[in-house]
Amino acid sequence: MVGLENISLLASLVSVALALVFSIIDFIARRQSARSGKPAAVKTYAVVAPVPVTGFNWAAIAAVFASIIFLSLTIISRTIQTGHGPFSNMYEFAIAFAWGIIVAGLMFRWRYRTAAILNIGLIVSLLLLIFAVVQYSKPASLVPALQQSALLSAHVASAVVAYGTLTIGFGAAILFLVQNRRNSPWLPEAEMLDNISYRAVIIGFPFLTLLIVLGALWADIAWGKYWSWDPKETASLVTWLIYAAYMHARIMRGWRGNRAAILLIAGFAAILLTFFGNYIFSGLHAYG
Amino acid sequence: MDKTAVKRQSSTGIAGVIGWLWRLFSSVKLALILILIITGLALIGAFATGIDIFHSWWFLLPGALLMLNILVCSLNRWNSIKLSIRGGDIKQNDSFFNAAGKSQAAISAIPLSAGETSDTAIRYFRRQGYRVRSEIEGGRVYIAADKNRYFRLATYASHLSLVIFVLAYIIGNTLGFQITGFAVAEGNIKDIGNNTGLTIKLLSFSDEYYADNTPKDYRSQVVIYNDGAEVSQATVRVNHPLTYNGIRIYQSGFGPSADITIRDSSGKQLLAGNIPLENYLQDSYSEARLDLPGTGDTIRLIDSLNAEDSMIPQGSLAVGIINNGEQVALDLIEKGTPKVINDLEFTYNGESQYSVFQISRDPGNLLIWIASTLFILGTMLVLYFPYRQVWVMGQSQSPGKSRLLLRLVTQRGFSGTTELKKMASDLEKKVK
Repeated sequence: MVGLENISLLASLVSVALALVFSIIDFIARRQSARSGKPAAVKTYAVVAPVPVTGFNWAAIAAVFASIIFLSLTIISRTIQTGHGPFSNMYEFAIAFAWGIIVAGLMFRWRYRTAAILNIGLIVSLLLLIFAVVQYSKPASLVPALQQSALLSAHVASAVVAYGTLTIGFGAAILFLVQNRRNSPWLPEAEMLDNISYRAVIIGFPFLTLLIVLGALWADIAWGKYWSWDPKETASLVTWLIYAAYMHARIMRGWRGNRAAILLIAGFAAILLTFFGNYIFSGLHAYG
Repeated sequence: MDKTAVKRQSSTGIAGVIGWLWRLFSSVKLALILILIITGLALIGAFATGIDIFHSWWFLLPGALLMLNILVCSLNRWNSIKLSIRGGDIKQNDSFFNAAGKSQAAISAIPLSAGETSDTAIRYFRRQGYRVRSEIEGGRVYIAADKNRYFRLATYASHLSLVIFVLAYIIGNTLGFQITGFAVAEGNIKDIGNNTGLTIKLLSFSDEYYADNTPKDYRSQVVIYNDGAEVSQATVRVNHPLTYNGIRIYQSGFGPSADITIRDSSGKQLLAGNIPLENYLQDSYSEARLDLPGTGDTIRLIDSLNAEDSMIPQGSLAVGIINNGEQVALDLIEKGTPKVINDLEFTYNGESQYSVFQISRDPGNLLIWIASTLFILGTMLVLYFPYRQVWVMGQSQSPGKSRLLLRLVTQRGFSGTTELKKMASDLEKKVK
């Protein structure tokens, strides 16, 4: 079983890397075609690239699907071994986080017909999976405080949805800032990217709230205090506040475009701080 | 600013000040600024664990202002929401349909009369789930369609729940109590206090470990007495607190204790009991200090946490006596063998354990979860059922031909261009 887990993890890492490579090759090939004078299609909302995609585009999509299958296998195998969801250490959650990003990215790619944002998500996932491989920890039994499987699984599941979609929002925000400046025909229009970030946040923000509330509920049951202002809890609140700020910035004239995008980037930084905070902060949440 | 026009108060006197304050606290800009200030302070607080930022004025003031902001904004919104539910003007003038830079569309040269075209439009919007109202004036058909108007009320759930949450947090902190480090040794009874009238007795504590020595379970068998009468007997485990009358008891920790008897030179018993050794010395020893009544001495009891320790071997206990701030004796006693140190007879009856509980009462607890649920539900309803308004005007162009003008209005910050294009192309297919 351990073997299956390790092999699937490595396979998923390779798939993600391949997906990125195929995407890049597809892009280069299309750019060559464009330069050699093939007719450019009219750019509408749905069609992103002026030149039809190559076979490498399909290879990239296949690689993404493969990575999801391998990551799912990794998580399932780990769950069978440990008897609980992927919530007891950084290794387990890094894998779940990467899964969330790739699935969210794939859904947004399907809905908005753009690979660029998925690719940014893939880069983040790749880094997370490398971190997971380095951080591998053997399955261990749960200490008493973590023996609350249903609630903790729900807590982590919310995190997977929230962090996954908000990472996509982050990708859209970066591309929005790029497009606002360069308006490249190879990337979606700024308006669509802005739309995508918004869509990502309206899914991510409620789940982010749910994540925090479930965490507080668990703390209330385990320790009698739903909020202790411990660093990780506070970091998660900082993340939540940044997205709350974004929701309000969006309806203000001066803050709509670039500044709102910067808030999304800050929000993603806060997610990373919350996730990796175990290593920086001490306290109840400090675990390996 | 909100679409509802804010009456301009006179800019002098109290009325002017109140008007200015009202406008300030009904602005989204203030909300954004306050949220960002609180974010920054929280971030500092997460890192600077030495200072308690979260109970300081720096933090509480923006928080309080934000609550005020929410309340004023909510009051301010009411008229606009009431208008949405009722429905605004059906007829709009030409400049409304020709407004530049807004989500508008036109379908011209429709081979139907204005009436037939408008009927098609009305049926289309009804099927899309819109409430459709129309009126005819001067040969033109004016249509006002809107969707999800009642969901606008959900914004009250999402915003007021925040105020409820903060209130519940304050109620919990001021009207409730929380005791941490409540240590009870096996066989002992301790008063919970805080006007509860409850005492708790620890019958036994057991800690269980996995094969690799990581903790598996901590269990305390306890009895609760209310004014002396037994009311509850239960097991308290981590993640399984005991609740009685709104008081909650959590398994928090444990440690070693020493069961001792101390007599004076005449044989009179000065102290007997199971004493929790709560102080940790250099991570290797656990200690308790007790003042012995009537002697002016402070007794130190020290045990080793390590079974292999050579200074305090298994089955022994170190005893120290402190008088006037100075340690005047330090000796080792064996289990079962009484020993006299400085005219006091110590008998070490054996080692035992004490359990540490966290005991709390939080009258605001239920409200916290209600507020949280309201917030999540309210947010999802507002975001997933967005309010939409479409105005349509159908007019004759030439005999037998007509055209439709459309204008879509969405909530702020959301561009409706794509949606309107889709509506327009749908309609075009139906009428042509």
